[in-house]
Amino acid sequence: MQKKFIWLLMLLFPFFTLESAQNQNKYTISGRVSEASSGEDLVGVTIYTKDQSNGTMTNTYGFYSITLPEGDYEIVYSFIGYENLIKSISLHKNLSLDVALNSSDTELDEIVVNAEKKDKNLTSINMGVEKLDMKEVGKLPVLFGERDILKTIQLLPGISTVSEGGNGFSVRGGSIDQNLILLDEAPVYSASHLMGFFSVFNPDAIKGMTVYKGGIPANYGGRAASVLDISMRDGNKKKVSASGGIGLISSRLTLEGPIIKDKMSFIVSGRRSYADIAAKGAGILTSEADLYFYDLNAKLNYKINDKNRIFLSGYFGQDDFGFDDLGMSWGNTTATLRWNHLFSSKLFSNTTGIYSNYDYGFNLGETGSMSSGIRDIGFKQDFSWYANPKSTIKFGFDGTYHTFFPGEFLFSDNSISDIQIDQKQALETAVYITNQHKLSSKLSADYGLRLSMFNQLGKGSNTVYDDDNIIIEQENFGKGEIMQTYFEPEPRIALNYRLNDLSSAKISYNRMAQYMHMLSNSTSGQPTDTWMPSTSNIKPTTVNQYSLGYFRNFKDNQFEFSIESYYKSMNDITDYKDGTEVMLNEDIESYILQGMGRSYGAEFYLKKKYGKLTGWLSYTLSKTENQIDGINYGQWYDSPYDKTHDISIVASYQISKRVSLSTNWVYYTGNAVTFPSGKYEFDGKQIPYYTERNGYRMPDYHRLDLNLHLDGKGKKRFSSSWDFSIYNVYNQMNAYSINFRESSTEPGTTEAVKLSLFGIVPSITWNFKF
Amino acid sequence: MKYLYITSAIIFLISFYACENVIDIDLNSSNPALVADAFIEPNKAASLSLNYTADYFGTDEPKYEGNAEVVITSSNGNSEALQHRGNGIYTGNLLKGQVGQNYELSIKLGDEEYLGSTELLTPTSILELDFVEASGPGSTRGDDAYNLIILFTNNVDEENYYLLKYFMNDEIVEHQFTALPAEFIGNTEVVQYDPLFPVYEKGDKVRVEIFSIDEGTYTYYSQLQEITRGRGGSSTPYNPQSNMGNDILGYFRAWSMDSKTITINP
Repeated sequence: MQKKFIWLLMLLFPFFTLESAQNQNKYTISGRVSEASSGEDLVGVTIYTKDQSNGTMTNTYGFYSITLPEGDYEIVYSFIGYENLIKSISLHKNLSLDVALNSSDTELDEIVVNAEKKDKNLTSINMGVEKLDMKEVGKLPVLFGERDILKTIQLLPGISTVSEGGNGFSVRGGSIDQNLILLDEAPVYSASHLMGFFSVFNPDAIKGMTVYKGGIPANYGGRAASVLDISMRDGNKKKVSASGGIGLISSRLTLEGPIIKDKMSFIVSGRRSYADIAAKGAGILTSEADLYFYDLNAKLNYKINDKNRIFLSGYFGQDDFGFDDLGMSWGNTTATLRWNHLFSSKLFSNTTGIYSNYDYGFNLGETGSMSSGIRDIGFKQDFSWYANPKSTIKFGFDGTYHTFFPGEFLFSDNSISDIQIDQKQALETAVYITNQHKLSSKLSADYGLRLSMFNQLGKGSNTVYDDDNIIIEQENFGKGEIMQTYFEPEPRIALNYRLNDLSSAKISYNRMAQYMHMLSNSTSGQPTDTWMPSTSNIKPTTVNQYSLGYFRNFKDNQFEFSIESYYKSMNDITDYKDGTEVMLNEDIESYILQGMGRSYGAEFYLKKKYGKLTGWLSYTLSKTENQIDGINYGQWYDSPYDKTHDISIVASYQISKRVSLSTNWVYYTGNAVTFPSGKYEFDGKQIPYYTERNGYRMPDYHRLDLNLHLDGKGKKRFSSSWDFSIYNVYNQMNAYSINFRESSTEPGTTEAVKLSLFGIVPSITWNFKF
Repeated sequence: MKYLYITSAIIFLISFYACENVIDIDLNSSNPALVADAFIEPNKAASLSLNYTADYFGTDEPKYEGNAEVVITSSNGNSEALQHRGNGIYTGNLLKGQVGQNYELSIKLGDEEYLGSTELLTPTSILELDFVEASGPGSTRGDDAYNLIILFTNNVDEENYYLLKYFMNDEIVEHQFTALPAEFIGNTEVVQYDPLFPVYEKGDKVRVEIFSIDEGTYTYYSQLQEITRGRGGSSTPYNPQSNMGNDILGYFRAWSMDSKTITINP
């Protein structure tokens, strides 16, 4: 069945190409859309002819291209939060047209912008996709006054929080390692600071993000559940400016500006927490103690000419946590070099070189030290061919060389031999082609195919284990030799049928392959999580996802409503045998169990996009189960990511020009967990007895947050704002964990103990810009 | 600015001071499962306690099993049947633990037989038990916090694992323990181990027991340590793997021990 589908796809592509060649007297308008005040590229701007018969969108670099028959047009450039721009054009030759849009922030009261194409959600083929602009994120209430895009996406339907405070999230029942997080195209392996309470994404350096939970385009791959594509800001091309903020946990400072006006600009953004400095100052911590994180984002972009642009971006972040000579640290480093080139007004190319590194280490003083990590070096070539108004074809290829450092423990005492787990290497490659195709005035499609391949490379050995994890056979490979190869075709297809002016129906199918697995002894994500490749013993995870959606707008597109339902079958998901030591385990492959998973659900989403009151209501009803031989007697059991109900209400109200109030309320079913169903005494201690995997539930979680945003009186050059936040307004003591232990007051009896992390937490942040 | 720093520190620390509450929770009852808690030590006969699991919050004494046939056999060919002395306790008389021997314990109950084996290793001797002002994460408690310093002997000809039990102020029931793997001991005749936990205060009377154990016993105790430590609701707890089969809980271990007591009296 799948093979037939692939051949069909192969046959279809040339057909569309031919169609475009038959057209005559057509010309192309192409260029870039940027923000007027800063020159920053705008991503996802809709560009369409006023009669709405033809349209396109700017890509990640603000580039657009639209081909139309010869004639006179009024072209509309539209983007939420910006004033519409209408250009009258007489099209008799190919045109290069760069435009700049003005922010409409100051005119919030004027809601009606007649020409604006506000029904993008109906016309766009994609489903399961949400774009968030930093302007939207900025107004929501947050923990400790730290704006956090990873927290914000967890308020969307289908994306659920795994653990309070933590940054690991689950998308449509997928595990946390099935989310691909890209920062300017570089994968970020551990996206959290302070053991997971804050994300590594400094809000000042981020332009926006797109999250794909279904209908994932073929140019993305490598993870089974979702893609979170985050782009960094390019820096102000017009003038030098500084902005920053002082919060309770950390402070931020950003500098940006032109190096060569309108040609070259930079942005440098830094952030550091100072709880440790404060605690030392107050005498709570000793001076030898470390407890902080910092990060630095930097980006340089250079417009060589109209056809060539170069971007260099980097991220560096580190956490340090320690007392005296004992401690732990972890951090990410990413770097991306990109070259945009226009071969013609219709063919856009982007070439990318990627570096990403994540490592963590423990320092155990006189005992020794431990370290582990992963490093990627990658290359990507993407082409966008704006073939004709009906068809945009994207194609390209990529390759990443992964080096895995599973871990080593070096003892200070030379008489003890060090523990060193051999590093592993792998090459992950893919080619893809995808076509965004308007089949008729009502029906459009986005279909494509990704062919991915994964080679585990030497030096290393393929090991065969028996059921007791004992090695029975080993085959050694030299440096660079192929140890194991996996190949997966990943077809993706999405269809949009416009039912009428106000509603559309969408359907999509996705196949995703994931060749890398995260080893973790928790489900919520920790800095000590270690990555490992698919090997001769561990197969890649594959996921087939089917989704169906209905989209409807109300009240002149002020309200967007959608219902999406999905069914996902997951193959070769991983878990461990009971009692597996995940860290520094040379034979970890023999302890990994693989099996099946399934997830299905319905997501309801109502969003108000315009007006004084904006926000959304999202409700997800879902079920996620696993079946793995060796766990729960081989029976299906609730996945740790199973959440029956998940509700988020987000609202923001603009009280006056300078004051806005926002709030969010979340409620979700407690995680499926394993609690004891009995106890026994062993060596004088009461030991819990477990009989069923994930047979119990944590208590349901709910919380209300508030935020008051106050803009200062804008002076000529200097502007400032205040954010007053209250996290967990009604002080709900939600359970972080429930432990079972022997009572300390009545020896011999047992008790359940609930651990709660955050009660009510007020915070205040001051932001400035000049 | 100073004020800001101080509030920052206070809010940070208050929030991280997580709040613990004992709660009521309904747990299912499970079918009682057989539990064997058996050991043999040098110059003493083997002992077995054979019970069943009980409801987690139940307060009744657990049911015991008095009808098993229990036999211990040593690697030099001697064997003895253990006698039921009441309340599920079985003990031997003649066959006594001897360093260097392997022991096999057989429990027959109806048609089922449970078999486990273990090796008795050289006892350690504690050379020194001392204390020092705590320097680890516990030091935030103030100046009145102390860690132990323990020096003990190790037989370099054996692959020795150790189990350390800490008893405070003669409190026997609630003790803490650490399982030390052979990889951390190395090829050394005297081992110094300075545990970061527990942390003691002035005046505490501390008894340390160090057991020499084999690899299997170490694995069992480290699993026990993991599930009783309370790792939080997000990880998956499990039943430590018995060396007597899949359908039984508990463990049969051979061990030898030395102990020492100290009063924290700086």
